[in-house]
Amino acid sequence: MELFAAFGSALWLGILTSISPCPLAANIAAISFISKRVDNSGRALLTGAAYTVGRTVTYLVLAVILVVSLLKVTDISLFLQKYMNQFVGPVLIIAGMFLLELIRFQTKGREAGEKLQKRVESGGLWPAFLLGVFFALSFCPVSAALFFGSLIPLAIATESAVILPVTYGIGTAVPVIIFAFLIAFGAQKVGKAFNALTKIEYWARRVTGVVFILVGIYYCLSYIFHVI
Amino acid sequence: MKGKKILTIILAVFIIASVAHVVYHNFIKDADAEIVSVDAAPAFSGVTVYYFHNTKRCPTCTKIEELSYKTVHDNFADALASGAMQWQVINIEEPPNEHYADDYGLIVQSLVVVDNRPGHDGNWKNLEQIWDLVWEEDQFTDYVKSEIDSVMVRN
Repeated sequence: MELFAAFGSALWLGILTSISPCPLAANIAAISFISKRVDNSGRALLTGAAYTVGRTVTYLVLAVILVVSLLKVTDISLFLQKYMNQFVGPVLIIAGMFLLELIRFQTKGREAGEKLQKRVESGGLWPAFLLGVFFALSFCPVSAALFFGSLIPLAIATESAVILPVTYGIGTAVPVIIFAFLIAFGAQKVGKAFNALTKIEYWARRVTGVVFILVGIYYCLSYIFHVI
Repeated sequence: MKGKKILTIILAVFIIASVAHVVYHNFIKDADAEIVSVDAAPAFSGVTVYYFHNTKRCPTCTKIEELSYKTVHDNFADALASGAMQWQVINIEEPPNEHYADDYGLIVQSLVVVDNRPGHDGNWKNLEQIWDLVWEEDQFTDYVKSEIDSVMVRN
């Protein structure tokens, strides 16, 4: 019964994290990325699942490290809050530039580069997984307070360093998955009705590129230059 | 085509400026700051209510600071005026203040009450529930007030 209550708390903490104002920009980028495979709703859902697994694995690894090692919660929490968010901005802008084909691989590694570019553009599972890892590590104050301040003590108290972080990770991705469902199925219906699925997919990819660049600029202005 | 090139250049310059800013502020400026000595402030022998924050402020953090400030100043005005209590806002990312994170086990923006009155040995309490109550203003105020009260009534 106690574990069931802890399980519910972990899920709720995850959902609270995902709907708090500060990860909003990351959620918008994730939703945009996942839902760009509007031509194939099954694929869009798989991409959403890969994103969720990325988040979940990250929280799980962090929790296990914190529970079994002597590393201090304080050090990890403050380090991730300070540095990861500064890393996110430039990386998102570069990813957005790839999606918009503003930059392309043209050197020796061209073949591998083109493969990678195609994967990112097509909404592959690995990029979605990595996006989940990336955004999970970008702790903002609310997510840090809920994860390091509430979930980790709960996991230690209930001796559940695996199930609770996994549940929390799924909770943090719930709104993104719901939006992915709505957008993927909604856009597919509209696309089929107008027989314009390919066109919608083309534009969805470009919109994702623009969203990535805008969110990246927001992260830079907010976490690096501190002007907003 | 020309527009694409211009956009690419603008974004590339922005990325380079961002990375340079990160490197300068995290590695070069901080390294300089470490050698600056800080005059020790005279020890305060009363109750201090600290609000600790990072350089980056978020809407929830700002709200917590506002509510905490209001609760302390509305309910403990006499203690503040008499010098029995003080309110301090500290950025824990500034090198001279980094020790606070270790001192009080801070993982995020926090409200900490420290009792430095004679005989109280700097006993402190981190009011961790502020994050759960921030959107329930009345409950937040009651919680912070009762926690500070519980420190103040100890003789």
